[in-house]
Amino acid sequence: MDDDERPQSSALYSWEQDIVRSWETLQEDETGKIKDLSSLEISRVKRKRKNTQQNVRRGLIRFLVLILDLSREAKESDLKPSRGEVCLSCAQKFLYSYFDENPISQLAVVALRDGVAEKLSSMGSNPRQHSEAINTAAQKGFYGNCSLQNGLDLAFSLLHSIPLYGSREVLVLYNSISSCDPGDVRQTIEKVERERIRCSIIGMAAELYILKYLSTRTHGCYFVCMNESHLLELLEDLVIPSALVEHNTKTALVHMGFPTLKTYKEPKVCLNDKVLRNQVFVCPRCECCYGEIPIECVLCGLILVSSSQLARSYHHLFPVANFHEVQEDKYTQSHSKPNHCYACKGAFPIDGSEYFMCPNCQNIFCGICDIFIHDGLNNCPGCESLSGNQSSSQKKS
Amino acid sequence: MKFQLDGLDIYFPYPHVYPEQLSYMTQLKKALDAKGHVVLEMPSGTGKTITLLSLLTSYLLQTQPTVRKIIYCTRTVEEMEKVMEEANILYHCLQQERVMDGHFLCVGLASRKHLCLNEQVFSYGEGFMVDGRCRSLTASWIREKAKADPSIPQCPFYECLEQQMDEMMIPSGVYSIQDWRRWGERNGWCPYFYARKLLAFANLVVYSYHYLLDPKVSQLVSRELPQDAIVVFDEAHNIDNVCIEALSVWVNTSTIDDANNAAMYLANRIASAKGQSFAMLQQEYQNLTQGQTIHHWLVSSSFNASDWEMSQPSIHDVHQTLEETVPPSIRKAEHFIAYLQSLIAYLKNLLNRPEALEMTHTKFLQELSQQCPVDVKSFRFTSDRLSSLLRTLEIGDWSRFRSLDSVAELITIASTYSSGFAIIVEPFEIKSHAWSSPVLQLACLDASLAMMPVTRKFRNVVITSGTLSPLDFYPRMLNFRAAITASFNMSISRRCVLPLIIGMGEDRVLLTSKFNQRGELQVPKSYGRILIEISKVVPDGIVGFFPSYEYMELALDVWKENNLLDELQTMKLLFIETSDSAESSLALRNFRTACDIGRGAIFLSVARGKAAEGIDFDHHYGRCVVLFGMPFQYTESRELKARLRYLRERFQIMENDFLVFDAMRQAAQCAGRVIRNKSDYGIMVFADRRYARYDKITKLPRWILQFLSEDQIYIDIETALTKIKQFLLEMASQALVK
Repeated sequence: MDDDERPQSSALYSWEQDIVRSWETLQEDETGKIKDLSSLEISRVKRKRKNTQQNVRRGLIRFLVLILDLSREAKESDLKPSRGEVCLSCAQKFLYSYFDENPISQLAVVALRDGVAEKLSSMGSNPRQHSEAINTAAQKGFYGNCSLQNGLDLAFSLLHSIPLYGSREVLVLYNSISSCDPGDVRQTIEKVERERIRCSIIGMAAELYILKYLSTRTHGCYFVCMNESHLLELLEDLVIPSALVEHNTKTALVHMGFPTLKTYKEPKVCLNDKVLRNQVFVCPRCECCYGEIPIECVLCGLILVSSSQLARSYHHLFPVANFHEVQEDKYTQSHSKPNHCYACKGAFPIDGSEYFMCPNCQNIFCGICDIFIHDGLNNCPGCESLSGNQSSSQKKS
Repeated sequence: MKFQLDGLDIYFPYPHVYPEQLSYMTQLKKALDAKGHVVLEMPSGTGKTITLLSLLTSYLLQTQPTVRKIIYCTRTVEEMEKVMEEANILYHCLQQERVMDGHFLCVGLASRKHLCLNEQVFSYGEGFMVDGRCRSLTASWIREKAKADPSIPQCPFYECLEQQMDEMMIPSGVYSIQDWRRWGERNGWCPYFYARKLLAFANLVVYSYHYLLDPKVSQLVSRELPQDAIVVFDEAHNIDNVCIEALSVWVNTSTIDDANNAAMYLANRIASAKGQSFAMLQQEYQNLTQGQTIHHWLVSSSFNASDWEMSQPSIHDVHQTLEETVPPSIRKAEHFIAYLQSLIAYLKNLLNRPEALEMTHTKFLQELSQQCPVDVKSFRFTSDRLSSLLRTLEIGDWSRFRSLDSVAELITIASTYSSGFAIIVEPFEIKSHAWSSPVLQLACLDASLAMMPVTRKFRNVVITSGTLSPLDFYPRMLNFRAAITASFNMSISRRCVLPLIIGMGEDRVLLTSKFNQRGELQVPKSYGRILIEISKVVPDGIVGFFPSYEYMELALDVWKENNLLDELQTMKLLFIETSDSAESSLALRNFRTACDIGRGAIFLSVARGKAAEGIDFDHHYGRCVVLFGMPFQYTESRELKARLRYLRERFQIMENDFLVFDAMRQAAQCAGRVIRNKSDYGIMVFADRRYARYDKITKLPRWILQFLSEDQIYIDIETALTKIKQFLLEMASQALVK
């Protein structure tokens, strides 16, 4: 009865909520300036996290099933406004950055709710379509039990027919602290493991044994997020294609076609979504029309990508080397070094930023440029301009 | 790894030593040097066993021959196997370091039930049946007869051992129960008798408490162990109860009936004895009349190891008994049987009384002597005389005389000791409210009686466990002087334990399981709500402990009425330990499965039950333990009352002190179930306001207290939940970082 009188968990009174010590993240430095430690901490972590291993095989063509837990416990309000809301909004962000970094990969979304697994969107590479599917699913609310087994079974059926060159992955955003299954989930896990599907999980609450078991068996990872920014950070990690586990996928030459974008006066039926369009991508082998790429041609089975998409995935194989942090006093002692950032030409010292040196070209960069070079640009401007064509030709060979 | 400690080279099989292990070793070494007894508390999961073994073995190897043997006592066979595993690791380390100049033998010993290889024998399953069956195959007269008549069955393993015993030398090494079985199967030898034979030569002996504390067994197995041995009692927090149980005897109506039948059977055997057995009886009588002691008579007739078992003298202190001759009144077999029968009749009378009865054992003996046709002195010889008679009648299988033996034992124990016992007759068993048969108990009240022979005989006795606080209690209760008592903290980089003392439930109900407030149903209801709230935030397994089965039943009733059970079931599955062990182990198995597959489960049990003592709820099987109330003993029990009175008069231990001590050690024992090693983490919820009091809280072990800060004491459920959530998140993010 007292449940009726209570406000919805998403609208708790502030005195009912957990204590948020926002003031603790602020710190005054010796000059009296106030810094937000949390943002500083994030950028530092971000920089360190970038574990750029070179010469590692990565699965560039990814097929990922994103499983969202929308069960009863998603209503818990330890993340604001609720676990489920946070989980959904982060999933949306993840979608876009996933396709940004992996343009030739595909994704499907599955929701766990009321004891069953529900396919929200099928394998495709259009972030908008997935995002809309997630939005409509969110409107139904969070209720019922969560069944990991049903989710894995559905993911299995979506993934097991994927050709072997693709990297098969499952990402679970898990809100609950239990799994209510129709059978023994361990058998499903075995099945998933046999099919070499890598399962990674991010939990919103405490550590759950079966999730740990699942991740270790399938060579995935399992993390528990502390707060929303931590969750985003963990998701960022998963955007980058992970190194392949030995023998997990076969190396194979894959037929790919580069479709031409043609404009017709008469609208053509696109085979992927049965919509009439004037501007379509045409398969170079069988001349089918498609509204979007990348896609596998329905008729001839050719994988259709654009060259720019291919190139954008390519840099994961040749990441920019980690920059070394340079101590400030050391830097000021050596007079031979320039007094501005090599990339943005901002004069040192730049507020709240350290100095970084590229191990190849020995140029000094500021912290902001360091993040930009590693996360966005994927090329070191110093190396590119210094040794000019030499380094790029090395890469191509 | 090898390092120096106080001038002693320590060989340690692992590359790192924790600081608490080092300080444990230092204290232990001091005690060994001082030839004193020692009480040490160190949390489970910090490698206590290997620390002990490593130091003791190193000490043994370097101080020979002042110390010749280590005797390591464990409570259960499973624990014993764990110790043997560690000993094996240590042995390999010692081998690599090449410090053993000769033989090093580590022997594990368990009962025939675990070691017997003869399918016809061990298929009986029950311990005493296996023992009886074995004896009937291996007794000397049976083997004698079998020589003449091949149709009499014999045990091939035992025969093989008898023939080749002197030829074989066993190589150095560690021999656990499984090793013995393999060794026995390979050579066709009986592992049980061989292991027992080797006790005398082994450097490290690992066996059960009973082989040392139970006077009946210890005389048989451990009599020849040298005085300059170091004795270790591991997991010794309940050692006083083991001591007391070893000297207590229970008799109920079915025991009496069985004993009566057995006595009748013996009477018939004697009456119809002809030929050789008649001659044997005659000879026995002659010997006894001629002033031979029973001991002498037993030794003189060429016995083998198997026979010894039934000719054992009953009690430690009987050395003087052995020197005396058997009183005339029971020398003749017929007279002895008549005496037994009148004894049984007297006990039967006592049992049939409608009301409860409690008296000292001296009064009991006095009354008995008026009923029986023998003098008081004869009582002490009852057990020995019975053994002698059975031996004379060449009865191999003892299992059918078990009840008669308990009766004889009762009377022998009662007449041997001058104080520390009570006779208690309960018209019905208190523990279960259902009607059951009346019980007569010879209750031992003094734990030191069984312990004293051990502490007096051996140069060092080490008492150690994860929960021994308060440490000074054990030496007082067991009546010995401890050279050193010490407790050690857990050194860890993270707070892996979250103890919480919850004083208030929902609606500010004061939580307590106090006996006189059990009528208040508000409290069990609050407990239910607490469990529900906790199971909403804690994943996988939760263990709950109640003070008694009655309280658990009461709570479950209340939960059922208030629909709390249904609510609980939506979160986690519920399993309950009952007094039926088969049912409980099934529940436990299902509980573990439910935790494994992520469904989550709650296991409800009672303090002092099987789950509280021997079963580990490590990692995801026990993320949280909830103690509903304080596990005080049932103070209305006559046995406890008698013991409390005795403790006050004899050792000046106040009733309340003992009760609190006992409750707190049980509580600590229950709580300690969830942390079994350093990589583990767990929450301990003490849901009773009384825990917050100074006299109770200080009796918790140091390694729990070190994590108990001021803001975790006497809190309400909401605060507790916030802390639990925070703790789980922190632990998870630490445990899962790669």
